[in-house]
Amino acid sequence: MSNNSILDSTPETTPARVIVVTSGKGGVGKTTSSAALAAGLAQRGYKTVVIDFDIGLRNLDLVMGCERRVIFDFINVIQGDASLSQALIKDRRCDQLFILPASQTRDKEALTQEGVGTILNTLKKEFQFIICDSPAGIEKGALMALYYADEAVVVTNPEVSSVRDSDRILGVLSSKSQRAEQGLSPIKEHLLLTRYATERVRKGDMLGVQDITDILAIPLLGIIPESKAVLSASNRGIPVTLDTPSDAKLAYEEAVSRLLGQTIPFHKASWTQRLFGKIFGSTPA
Amino acid sequence: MSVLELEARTQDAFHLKSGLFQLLHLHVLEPLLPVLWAQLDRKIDQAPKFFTHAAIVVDLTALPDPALLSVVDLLAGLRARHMVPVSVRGANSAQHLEALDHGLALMGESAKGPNSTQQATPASPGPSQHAQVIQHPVRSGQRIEAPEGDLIVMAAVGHGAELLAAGHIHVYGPLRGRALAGMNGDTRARLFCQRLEAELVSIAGHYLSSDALKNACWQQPTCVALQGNRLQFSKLCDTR
Repeated sequence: MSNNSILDSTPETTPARVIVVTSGKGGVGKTTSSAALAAGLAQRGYKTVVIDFDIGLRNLDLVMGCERRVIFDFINVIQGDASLSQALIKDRRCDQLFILPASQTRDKEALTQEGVGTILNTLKKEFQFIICDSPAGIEKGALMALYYADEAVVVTNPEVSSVRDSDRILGVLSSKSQRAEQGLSPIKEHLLLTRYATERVRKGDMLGVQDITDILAIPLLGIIPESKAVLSASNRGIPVTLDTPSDAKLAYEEAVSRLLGQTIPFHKASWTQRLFGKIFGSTPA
Repeated sequence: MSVLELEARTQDAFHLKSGLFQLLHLHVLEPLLPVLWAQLDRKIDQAPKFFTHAAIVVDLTALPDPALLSVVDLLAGLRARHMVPVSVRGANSAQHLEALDHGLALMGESAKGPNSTQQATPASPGPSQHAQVIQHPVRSGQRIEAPEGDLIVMAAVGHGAELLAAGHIHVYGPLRGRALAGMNGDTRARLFCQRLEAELVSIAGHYLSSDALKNACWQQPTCVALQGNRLQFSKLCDTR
């Protein structure tokens, strides 16, 4: 929830926030959202690193457009083969944005809790936001990604199995994280609805926002519309928020603002109306 | 493996945890075994897979005198029907010893051992001093157990979540998962919820799944009680 200290803070003074982007269900938009949110934060001046926890099936580097620059990865650093600074890749478009890629060839067993903890502690000294892109499921990879999190963005599609899996992952977050195990204050949960198609909701083909928030009962961070812009961006290796204006980009930017503590109402106006409103300073209907 | 190698192994070889399982209780009402088998066989024929390899707790408390029945013959008959008897309740001390000799476990009040000549009584009735209160939503896949009393949940219970209590279950929110009250056999246990959307409700083993529930107080504030062998649903006052 927003409080004065977040709104008053500047990029230089924000204490490090470790945010896991998770879902349970696969293919709902975790990696797309991790990249978009991380890039959005970095654009506003917050030094941000996004970490790919999907060992073996890595694709964050593809979505970020840096797959040809991966020399060392997360596992190399855990095993001491490389230093963190050797593995971190700086984004060419945004100088506050960094990526720590996963390994394609090793398997998940190489990830250790202590190893992850050590790396995160080092990163916290340098970065304001640490985004952990979780793999799908509720097994080791996903558990590792959420273990040290202070906050969680639960990515959900407006359909029943995704909502059910998100509910499941919320249960896991409240019991299998370090905060849960040590009795610290619980992980702050945010709901990110993705691939939302208003027409289909109206027709009753898809679950609506009210139905989903009724079931999941966590604060809504953003509603990202189903958009051709998303596929186009990932195919070109550009995070949605660094790409040309689109409905999805505007929605992600609003989500980033909410993450930074701003209160932005959920509009009924179309994205183009909102975009013009932003440019020309008028309030949309 | 040498002793040194064995001692050098620091990883745990096992974890001991207690688990809770739903077991079939066979309440024996008829001491004449041939009559029992005739009726039981008809039941088994209706759903053979349900009974094959099922763990069975044999309960003799309904018999006027457990000695009227041969426990050894009963166990043999159950095994012949591919069931797996795991414990006997309500037997006399001699029968308990026989049961132990035949590889059954000590469970529940039979843990008092062969020295006890008391009839085993069902779990303590009535509202319990041990009420568990949960104030957070119960998420899909989570399981909350209150093995000694009532369970009170002050938030939503999600699809795929499970609540079990020896006594009553209260859900001050929508109940979308499964709720099993009176799990130790207390037929007086009740289930209360603000919005009945459950996948399954059960009182002392008598259950109904959501298909049947849709005809009774669906999405209403409801109280579920057991009357005889049937679940009764009554609408609670709407407090909204």
